[in-house]
Amino acid sequence: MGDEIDRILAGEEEILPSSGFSAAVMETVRREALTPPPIPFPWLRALPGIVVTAVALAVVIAKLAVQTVKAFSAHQVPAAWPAWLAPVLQAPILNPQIVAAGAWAALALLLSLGAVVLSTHLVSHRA
Amino acid sequence: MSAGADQADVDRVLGGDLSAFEGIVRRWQGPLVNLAYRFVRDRGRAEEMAQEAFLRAYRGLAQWRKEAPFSTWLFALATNLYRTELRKIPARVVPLDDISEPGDSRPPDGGFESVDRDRAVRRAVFALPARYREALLLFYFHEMNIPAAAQSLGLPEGTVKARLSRGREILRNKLAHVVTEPRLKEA
Repeated sequence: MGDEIDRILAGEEEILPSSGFSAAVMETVRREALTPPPIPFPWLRALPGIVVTAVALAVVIAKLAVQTVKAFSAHQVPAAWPAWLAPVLQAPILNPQIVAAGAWAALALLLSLGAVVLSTHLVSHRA
Repeated sequence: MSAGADQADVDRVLGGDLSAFEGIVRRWQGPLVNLAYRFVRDRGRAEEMAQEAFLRAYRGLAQWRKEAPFSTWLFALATNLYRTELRKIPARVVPLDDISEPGDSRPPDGGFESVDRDRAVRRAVFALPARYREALLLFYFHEMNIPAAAQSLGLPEGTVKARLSRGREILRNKLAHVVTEPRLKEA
């Protein structure tokens, strides 16, 4: 049976490219040659700045998050937050654990949003 | 195909003579269109894919290391592109279980049933999982040359052999009623 399958599959009929095929290819290639090459993103130059920014941002966010969680746990307004939030914080509905979880969720959402915006920005620049 | 002509044309293109690429296109348009046709079974789409392969070849011409023949590099590039294209827009595939099984595949006078049988075998190959289908397509495209098929697929020869073996096993099981062992000559 192997021989029979070999015979059938090896005996595949050849097709000829259409008459204008090579001309069409050359037209595409000529157009490509006239197009200036895309300027690559200077990753090497940008890398130190990106790393420093990312680390600084992470540190700031972490500090803010820790401070916020601690302050919410103690039913106090974090130092960095406006004073008008005090009555809101003292509302009985605001269980410290729920608020802390909410703060973390908000932080996660913010980070996700930042990642989406950054990647969209990079992709649109490369396209 | 002339390896020397390929090298000379590549050198000229890299030197700025774009018209030399036409020599490469003329030499390889047949194989590249036929390889694409084996993947998609659609002449129009095969030519589009082959055109894109030539464009990629033009863009990446400087990446050909000249250690391997130009054809090896070109087929590997084209195969990679065709596989990617098929993943993006799959060709219409008949499920393996839907392959028709003619009752008698060995008519005394050959003829129409033989054509049906050949078509059933090709459709069965087309309905195989991609990894086995690709191995079989490249194997027969390269005239049953396993090293050439392996180079085009960018896989070790052992992997290609294993996929060929498994692909044929599936075909044998599926096509047991379509393709049979040759009859013994009557005494």
